[in-house]
Amino acid sequence: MRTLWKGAITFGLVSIPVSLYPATRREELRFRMLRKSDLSPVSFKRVAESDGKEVPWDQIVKGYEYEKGKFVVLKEEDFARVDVEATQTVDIMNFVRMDEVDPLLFYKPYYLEVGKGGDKAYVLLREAMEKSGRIAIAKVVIRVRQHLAAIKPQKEGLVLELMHFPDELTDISRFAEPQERKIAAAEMKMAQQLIESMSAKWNPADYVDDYRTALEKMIEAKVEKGGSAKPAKVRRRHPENVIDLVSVLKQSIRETCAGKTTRKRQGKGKPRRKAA
Amino acid sequence: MAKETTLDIDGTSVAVSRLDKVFYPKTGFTKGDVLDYYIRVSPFLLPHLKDRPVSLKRYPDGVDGFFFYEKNCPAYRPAWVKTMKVAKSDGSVIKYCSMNCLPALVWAVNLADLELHTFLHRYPALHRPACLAFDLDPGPPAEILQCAEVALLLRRIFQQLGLEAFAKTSGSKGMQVYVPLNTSATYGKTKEFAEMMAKVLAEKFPDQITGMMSKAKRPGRIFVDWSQNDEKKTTVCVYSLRAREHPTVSTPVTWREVQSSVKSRKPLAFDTEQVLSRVAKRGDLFAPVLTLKQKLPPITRLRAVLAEIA
Repeated sequence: MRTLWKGAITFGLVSIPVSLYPATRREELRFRMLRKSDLSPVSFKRVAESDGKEVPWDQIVKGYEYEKGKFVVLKEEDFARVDVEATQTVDIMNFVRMDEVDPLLFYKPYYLEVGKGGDKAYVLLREAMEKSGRIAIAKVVIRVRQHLAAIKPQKEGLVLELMHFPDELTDISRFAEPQERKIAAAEMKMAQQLIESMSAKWNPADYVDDYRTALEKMIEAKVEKGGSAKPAKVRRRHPENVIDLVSVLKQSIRETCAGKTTRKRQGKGKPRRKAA
Repeated sequence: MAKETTLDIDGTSVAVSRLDKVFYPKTGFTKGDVLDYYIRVSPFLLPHLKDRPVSLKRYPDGVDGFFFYEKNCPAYRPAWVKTMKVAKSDGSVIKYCSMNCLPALVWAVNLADLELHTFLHRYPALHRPACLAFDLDPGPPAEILQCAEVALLLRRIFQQLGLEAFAKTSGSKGMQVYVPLNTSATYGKTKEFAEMMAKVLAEKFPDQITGMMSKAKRPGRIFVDWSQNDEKKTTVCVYSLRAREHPTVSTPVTWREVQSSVKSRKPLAFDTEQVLSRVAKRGDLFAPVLTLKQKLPPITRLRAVLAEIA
């Protein structure tokens, strides 16, 4: 697989060589735009809005519209200057408790593969984080952009997850809060029963992109027939019947608490007064 | 089934959640099964947890996921989960969870605390071990059968010293031998005693036993871990589940069972169902460990007995 980035994790005086690999892939079907009459592919040209003339790549600069119609131009050097800290490192700033971090902040996982000679420090970091229940919060520059990231132990290895900066999260107070109303016990019971009936074991294999599969099927059919075909029906999985564990537990509690006085507690040996 | 529900235990409401989450992927043993086991074994387990500071070892994603130790009882605990304050050498204080009652145990297990690790002392006598303990840890290719042989050897020595000893599986790879004291022993004394035992046996049986922690010294040998006799060390509690492939349990066994296991070459291993049927039939084989009063003999007597062992 393609390395996205090569560098080192640093914290304190330690530096661990690592490579980053994307842990997810986006599987999107691609469509091209065509001219309806003869199916000729349509391509894009960059044209100047002022005179409609085509602009070659080497004549293009980037501008920031600080006010309607007014721009400041930023050249490559300008971007480079901001990236003075664009070192090839993942700089760990803190170790924090995982449950303290809002899960909404994580958005893109990468695998961190250990580089030559880094095995010991890599394993040490992973084990120490596992033991402490903490994850590392770090800054990393990928391509030209600085990102906030978390490093977490995952099975044998470490993963790096890109994070939104907390100020990128939309302020929740902008959304209307549900007005609290009294909920009748019967309604709650019904809702809970519904949830209960729809509950299932988390099985990753159960969740596939139905839309994409259906789309692919239709395309295949079209390729074969050359005509129109109706979209394949999306099959829905029904949740399996799950044993009602709660009632099992309640039964166990009843039995355990009831049998407390009658059940044989002692093995051999006489009970004696306990020290301390 | 609801993701979160409450159980009423002796009038205390305990919230439990995600009961159908699989904690042991190899066997499909769920979090609900884990809770059910702990509830059903609690009449036998709770006496061993009473007044013992407990370290939580949490596996939020089951045995294949990441885990972490939690000494400090989480601050979001309900009011009925009591804690025991233990001062550390640097002056700070650790508040350990107290599992003196079933609701507290269920609450901790619901936090995915699969394994229970306890100290050898009881609160508040933090410097007085209630027993002497040996952790027998096999270095591959040695396994639990070789541990059983060493356990029998330890038992022979304790018999000569006039002490009764008790054995349990660790629920993982090894075994533990406990000698109840319940008298005014100190860790200084028990550790010295255990260390001499391990080191002399390692000298006498260098092919089978080592008293050194070093992994390099272990292949094919049983590490007689004497260092567990320390006020800072915890050992897996009897009836605790282990985070292994199968839901195995640290199980008390009779010496007869240990002998026949060695004879028949059948390793001792018990899962939750076997343990529950064992306690229903025989009660708690480890109960005397909590009550039997025995005095630790002077170390010179141990030395004399060890000199005779061959």
